[in-house]
Amino acid sequence: MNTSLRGPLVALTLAGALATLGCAYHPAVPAIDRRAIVAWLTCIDCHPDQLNAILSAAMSAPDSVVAMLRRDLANGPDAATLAGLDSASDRAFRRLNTTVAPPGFARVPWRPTSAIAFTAKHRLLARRAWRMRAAVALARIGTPSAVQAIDGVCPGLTDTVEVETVAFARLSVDTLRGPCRIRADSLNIQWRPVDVHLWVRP
Amino acid sequence: MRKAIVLGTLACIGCCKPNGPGENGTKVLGTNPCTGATTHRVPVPSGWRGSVAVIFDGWKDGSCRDDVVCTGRPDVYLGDIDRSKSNECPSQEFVALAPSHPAESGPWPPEVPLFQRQPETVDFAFWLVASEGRQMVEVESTAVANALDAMLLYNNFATGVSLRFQSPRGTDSHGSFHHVVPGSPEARRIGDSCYRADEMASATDVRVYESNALNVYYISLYGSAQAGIDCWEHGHREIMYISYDLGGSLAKLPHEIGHALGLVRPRRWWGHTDSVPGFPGGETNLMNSGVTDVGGITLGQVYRLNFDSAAWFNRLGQVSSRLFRTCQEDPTLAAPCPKLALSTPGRWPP
Repeated sequence: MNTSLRGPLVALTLAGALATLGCAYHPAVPAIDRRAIVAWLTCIDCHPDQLNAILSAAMSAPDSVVAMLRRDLANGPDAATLAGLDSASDRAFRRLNTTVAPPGFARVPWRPTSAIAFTAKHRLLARRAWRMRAAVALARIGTPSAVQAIDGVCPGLTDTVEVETVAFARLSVDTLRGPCRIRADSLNIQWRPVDVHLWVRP
Repeated sequence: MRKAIVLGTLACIGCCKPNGPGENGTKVLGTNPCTGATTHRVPVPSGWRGSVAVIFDGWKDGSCRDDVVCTGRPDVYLGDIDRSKSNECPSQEFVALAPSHPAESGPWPPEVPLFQRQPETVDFAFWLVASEGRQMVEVESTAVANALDAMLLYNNFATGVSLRFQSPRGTDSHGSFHHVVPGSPEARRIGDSCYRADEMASATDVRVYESNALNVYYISLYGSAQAGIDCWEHGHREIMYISYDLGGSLAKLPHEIGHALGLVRPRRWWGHTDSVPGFPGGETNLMNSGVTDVGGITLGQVYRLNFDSAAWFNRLGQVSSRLFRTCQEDPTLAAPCPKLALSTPGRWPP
């Protein structure tokens, strides 16, 4: 072998070995299908398997899934979802304002008058569902870090429905206490019985 | 699905062309000298300007064909079809669909013009659980807008279904939109869960249910994080809840109506099309579980709304002249009903 090549080859071999060792010590995080999480956060009538898909992912990569859901809980819908929702709101606004209603529908102001308000309303409703479902998924995962993620967001919540729903999710883990309880009490939320068949751990 | 689309494309490009003008209501336009088969135009009423889609099973172009799709505006040409040879085919069926009209069906294209009947109506009762005043005005406005939007959608997508509800009128009478005060016995009966459906349907102490209508309950939040839900899994497809405080989708109501009217297969997935890879329309299909704004519905779904044994029109006590069949659960199969994903070659209705 040409001695001039020996140095680089040794270096290359060493680098390869180190890379292999590195992989062995830091196994690649299993790919999480983000679409599965978004499907759960946006579904209208969610199938239990949509939540189960997230729980399965959390079994193999708990840290990654909890981190993702924590971000979802804290930030609400991502930009792509909001863009899609805004387009849909815009189309619906125009559609409703060109709809010829049957006779007799004059008394109720059903036609939206402000496109901005119409879009903002649907953004708010989407954000609530997004956060609520993220909280439910974290509650069902139920690890200390998942519960911590729920507790962490409660002090900053301002929307009453969001506090109510996130606290409900927290309630399904154990007795409601900590920051979510404090936040709920501060808003004087009236607790009511709910069906938690989708929420409680099997 | 690919096969169906290809068949449809071939049929409409190659064989559906007219070979001569004809009068409205005239079916036979010419005879193929080689086979003796006739070229058919589907008869439509005089002055008809709408668009029509036809699903055809039978003898066509020299062989038995299933789920051939042809569209036209105003006429649809089926090409060379043969009635006597069709009798030897495994399936003989003709279904015609047009916006704002009932679905027409039979074993063979009829002699008389189509779409002369009134659409089949589905009655609604809306129950709005909200505080009187500003909140009720807002909820009622939302419910009316949702209802009108759904009515438009079901008409325009040629579902053969006409949604019917009465306008709110005056302060004492609310038409199909009933006001329910939170905390009242009525509100407690309605609750926030499909587990209440049995109680609601049989309640005699309070009136929160109409037996021959689809009952839609607008409540703040459904008990288990659903933005909307139809209670068909609990044996009460005529009961559905819409959470007005949760879920940004503009398609909550039409989606749940789809379940109530019979779009429940594959049952394993609650009739949701996101369980079927590559389903036409993707996230914009009416029955995608995350649909935000409805972009379409397939012919396979329209077929089920009208002719599946699970359809609302086939409910107990309903008299119907339709021939219902139990459609297959597997969305990849094309019998006994057309494949769930069966759709037109292009955008339809245009």
